Amino acid sequence: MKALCWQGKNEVRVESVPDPKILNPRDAIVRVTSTAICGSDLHLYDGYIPTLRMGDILGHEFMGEVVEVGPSIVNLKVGDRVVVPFTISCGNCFFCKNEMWSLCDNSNPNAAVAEKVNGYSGSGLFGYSHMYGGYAGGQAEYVRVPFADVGPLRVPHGLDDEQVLFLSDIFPTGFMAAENCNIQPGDTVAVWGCGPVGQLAIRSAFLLGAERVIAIDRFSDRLIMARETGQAEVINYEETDILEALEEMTGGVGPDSCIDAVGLEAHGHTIDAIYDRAKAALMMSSDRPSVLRQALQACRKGGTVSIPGVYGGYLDKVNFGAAFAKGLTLKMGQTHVQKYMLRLLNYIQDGKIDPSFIISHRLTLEDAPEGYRIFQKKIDHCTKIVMHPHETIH
Amino acid sequence: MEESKEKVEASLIISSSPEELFEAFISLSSYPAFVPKLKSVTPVGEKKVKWVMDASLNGGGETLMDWTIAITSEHPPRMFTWKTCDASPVKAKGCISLKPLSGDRGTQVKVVFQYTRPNEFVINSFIRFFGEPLHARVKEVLRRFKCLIETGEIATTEGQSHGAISKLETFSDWLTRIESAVLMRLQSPKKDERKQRIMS
Repeated sequence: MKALCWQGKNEVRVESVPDPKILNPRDAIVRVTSTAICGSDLHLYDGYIPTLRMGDILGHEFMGEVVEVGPSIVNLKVGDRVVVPFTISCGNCFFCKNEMWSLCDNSNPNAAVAEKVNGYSGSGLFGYSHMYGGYAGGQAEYVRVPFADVGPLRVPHGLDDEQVLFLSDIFPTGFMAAENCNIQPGDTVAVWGCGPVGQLAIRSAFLLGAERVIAIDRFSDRLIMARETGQAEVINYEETDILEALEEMTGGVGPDSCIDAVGLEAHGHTIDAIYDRAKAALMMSSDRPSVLRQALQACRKGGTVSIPGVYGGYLDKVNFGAAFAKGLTLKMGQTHVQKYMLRLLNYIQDGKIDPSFIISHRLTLEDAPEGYRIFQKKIDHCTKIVMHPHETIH
Repeated sequence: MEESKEKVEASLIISSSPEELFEAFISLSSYPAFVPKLKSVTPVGEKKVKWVMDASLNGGGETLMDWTIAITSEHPPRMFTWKTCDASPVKAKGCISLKPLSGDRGTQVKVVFQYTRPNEFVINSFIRFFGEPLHARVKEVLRRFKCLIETGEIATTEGQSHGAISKLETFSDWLTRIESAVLMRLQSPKKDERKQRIMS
């Protein structure tokens, strides 16, 4: 089959690789009909996430048709259309039973590596480095899905791929980011980053009852999308002092909650952001946490900072004192996708949201290397790339 | 040659009852399912089994070694102890204890493992610098056991699809094999017993 394989920093290539096969009784093989490039794939592409190996197949946002099931799979059959969560979860451990799916105890065969780095290991993830299990990802024609009796969601008739594809990651991720804010009536939520997760966090915040959402980015097309599709108030951080603007817009108290939908590769022109870039350039730091600093500083007393943006290592000069002084609640982590899929599917079926609004580009799998390039550079107003591996699109 | 004793402990919580776990642990014949490179376990007497381990570098089964293990005490469903028999090339003993936790939190499993190894400065220094501690290996076996008990299978990526691997990756793979070789050498009690190696 054809699959997109990581070659090194800023280099991916479509290769012919062996077809996946059933390795465990609870596996299924899925013929991928739609697969997307996620913003967190760019962290891999940019070389920020350790333990990737040459030849690893990327991709963790995908869906398709079941073509083979292992002997223990009874809830899926060949021919079912499924969306597959990017978190691989066993459904049996303490964490899965308590809906902390992304913290599954059993799905990461390289848990020892993650333990060395983080103390304890989270779940395995598709296509996201060997520290997270080393599982082959879904930017391919076919993919093996472990614990397939737990994760994949069958797609009801009448919904096309692009309406439900983002149930695999970014819609639940944006939703969990908003849910973590514990939104109360009248709340104002500030969202840093108007990429796909940020856009869906904006929509989710309103779905959960926020009165106002303030969206922050530097790309005018993304800010326009946040304003026109998401009904958010917007700030361009290249033109406006964010902290002053947020204070002014919230009557001097700050947003009730702040969402960092940017993570470790934050840009910016403040002194701390320049400092971060210099340290990263000298390979003295892995993360550039300038958005997190702003969120901690801007949030109102007793508020919540929710962090769906990915961080990878040690963070320098983070104003943790501000978080302590204001009694902030910090919530973060990989998304517990399985917890949200059915609820969000209902939102889609009820017509409350159609997440496909974020798609800007549709490519073939062969075009994936170019897709990574334009997504990384934000060329051609790129917000989200979807590929259909078994179709020819031109 | 001088020998030194080493003791490691590892602990893990498993979502199961002490009774079920005791049954699974005391049934020594099931160990090949979760102990890497353990080829077979055969009963050889009352509460005694023979373990056959693949000690080859590449896991191809060219170098096998065996030893006998005996259960020395049983206190179901909380604890049992074992040791290798005197004639075995490996001198080791251990204890597995099970402590039920409140609510639905399962059972805390504690493994204590003691073994005897030669004092060889160069090898021991190498292991301290590069090697995977025995504790990590015991923990890995325990983790695989937990996965098998809780899910019915052991999560794996061995045999999955993958793109072309570079010469650099191949070199890295060989470094891993060299490290494994030194670990195996460390496990041999005497020089004249080098052919009898174990990998845990």
